Amino acid sequence: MNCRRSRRGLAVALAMLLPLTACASEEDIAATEAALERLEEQLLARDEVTWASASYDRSTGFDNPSAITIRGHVRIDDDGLDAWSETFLRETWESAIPRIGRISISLTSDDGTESLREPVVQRDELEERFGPRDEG
Amino acid sequence: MSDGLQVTGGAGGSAARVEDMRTYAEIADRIGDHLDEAARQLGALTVSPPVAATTPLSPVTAARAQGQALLATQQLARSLVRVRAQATLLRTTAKAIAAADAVDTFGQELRTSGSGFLTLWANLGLTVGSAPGTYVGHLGNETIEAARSGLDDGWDAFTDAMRGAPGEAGRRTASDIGSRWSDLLLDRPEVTNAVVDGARTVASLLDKRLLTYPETVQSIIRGGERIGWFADTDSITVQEADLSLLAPDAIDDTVVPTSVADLLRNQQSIQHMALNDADGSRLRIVEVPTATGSSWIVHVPGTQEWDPQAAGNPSDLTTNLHLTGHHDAALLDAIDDALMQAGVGDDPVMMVGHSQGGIAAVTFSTQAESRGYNVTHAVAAGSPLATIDVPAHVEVLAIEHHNDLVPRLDGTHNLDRPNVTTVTADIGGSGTHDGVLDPHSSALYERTAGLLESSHDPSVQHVLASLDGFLTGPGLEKGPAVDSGLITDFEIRRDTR
Repeated sequence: MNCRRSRRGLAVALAMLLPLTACASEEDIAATEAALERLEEQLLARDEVTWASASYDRSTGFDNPSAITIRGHVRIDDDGLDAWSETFLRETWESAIPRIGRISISLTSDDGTESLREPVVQRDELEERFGPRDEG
Repeated sequence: MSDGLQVTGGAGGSAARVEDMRTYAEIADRIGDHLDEAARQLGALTVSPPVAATTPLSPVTAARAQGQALLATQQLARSLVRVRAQATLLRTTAKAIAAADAVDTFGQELRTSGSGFLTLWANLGLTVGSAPGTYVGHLGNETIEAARSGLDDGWDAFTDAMRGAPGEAGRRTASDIGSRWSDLLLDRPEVTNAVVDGARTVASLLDKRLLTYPETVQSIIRGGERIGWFADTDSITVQEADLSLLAPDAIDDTVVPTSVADLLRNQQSIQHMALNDADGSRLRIVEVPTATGSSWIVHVPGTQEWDPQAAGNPSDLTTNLHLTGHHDAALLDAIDDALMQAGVGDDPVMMVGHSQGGIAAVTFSTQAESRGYNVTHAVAAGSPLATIDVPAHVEVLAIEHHNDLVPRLDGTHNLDRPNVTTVTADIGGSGTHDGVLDPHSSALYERTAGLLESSHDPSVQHVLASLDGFLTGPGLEKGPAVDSGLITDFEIRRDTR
């Protein structure tokens, strides 16, 4: 047994753990991207919503298709940004995104006078607010 | 701890207390010296010729005065003994606390690494032992699926499905193993320490001497360079970016900050833009108007490119290794160039970074003086900083998540130092997070940074108060922040050979 080669082999095996554990599957990413596109269209279909963006977290340098960020500009009248945040969260939770671990929300009133930011709403809180989700 | 934050180091840390004790001991020494001198002078006074000359004139008064002086000298001598004893006690206690802390830290490292090693080996064994069974199980399922498709669509469908079955079973097995290890690393993050220690042991065995962590990384760089990996360059291009081209998502995260959480928003903004740039990265400099001029905040993004072959983007694996191996990195020259272009001069500068950005931010603070800049603060989120020798005049706030593996990549805890405050938050394990790198997300760090404002910990309160000069700007966000003229972005590109 070549010990030096074995040690190198062990080092390579340990290094392989990172991509093995950190990389999302290409199918999940493709399905999430398609669902995010549909969600954007759905949010924009409301008259009050002047801009909407739905994306997933890439801040670590790896794709995390279960960490969703929703941004929007909305015309507010009777409903304040809190109510809109609830609407955006619900629609995201009920969308076709394959798996949701957390949602970040960033909303601005169309005149730029008000803004609301919730950097993280975790899955357990979402389940409590909107009920469990069927993710197959 | 009620806010879920564990704080080490800083103004309220153990090292600061030990330093305070040593300072008090020095003060006690000085008081002792003064008492000593006073007693000596008093003693000399009673036998001085002018006093002796008055004795025959009033012998009773003179005797009484001499008695009083003697009493005062004795009291001074007793006070002197007490003060000297206090100084010795303070010094001994400080030494004992420092030694106990060192032993405690060593024990903690040993426990962490030992527990990590046991978990690592047990799970490696479990993985190797169960992989064939998992594979056979998946192959069986694929065969059943193939049979079903054959019954529905005929022989060709069956043979196609059977041909793909071994590959699909292998993919599913790898995915299962990945998930299991991801959950393990989220729930038992000390495994990361063990992996790092293991890598260090392997490198030490190959090098036939005990290597430090930076030396281990240097040996990885040397190994990689033999096959053309990890080659940083000396030359990097830094060019002011056109903010009118910021993507809407990046505008949404742009802010002239008034809190530590805001700092993490800007990090997300530049990371977004850098990820959309096929061959480059980005720095952001925010000018904060103050009563006496300006202070400046420099944002450095995290890793975007994991290819070991260095290319145009300097926020890559190569820079990670060069920074953690204490090598020069072109990224540091890019920061220098951007500061010069922004006209920072000798104004106070705060360096900010997430992940690799945090390592670069704190490393730059160690070189700032020699580069002609006045870096007074650094804020790092999710960065391994333990091996960086932070200058005493730089105040560092390090934010970490307990199960973020990235800050653990140096295999050890940040040193307890009066100017380094480390805040560690427990943000939940595999039940909460999808994927091993999820706790490393800058959005989660933004939320943790938001908890700092309500912390009663003295170290946190001290470091937040010291950030006042940087977080008292007009507090603009989104479009108004972009249009404020206070924000300048720089595109940075490594000049590849």
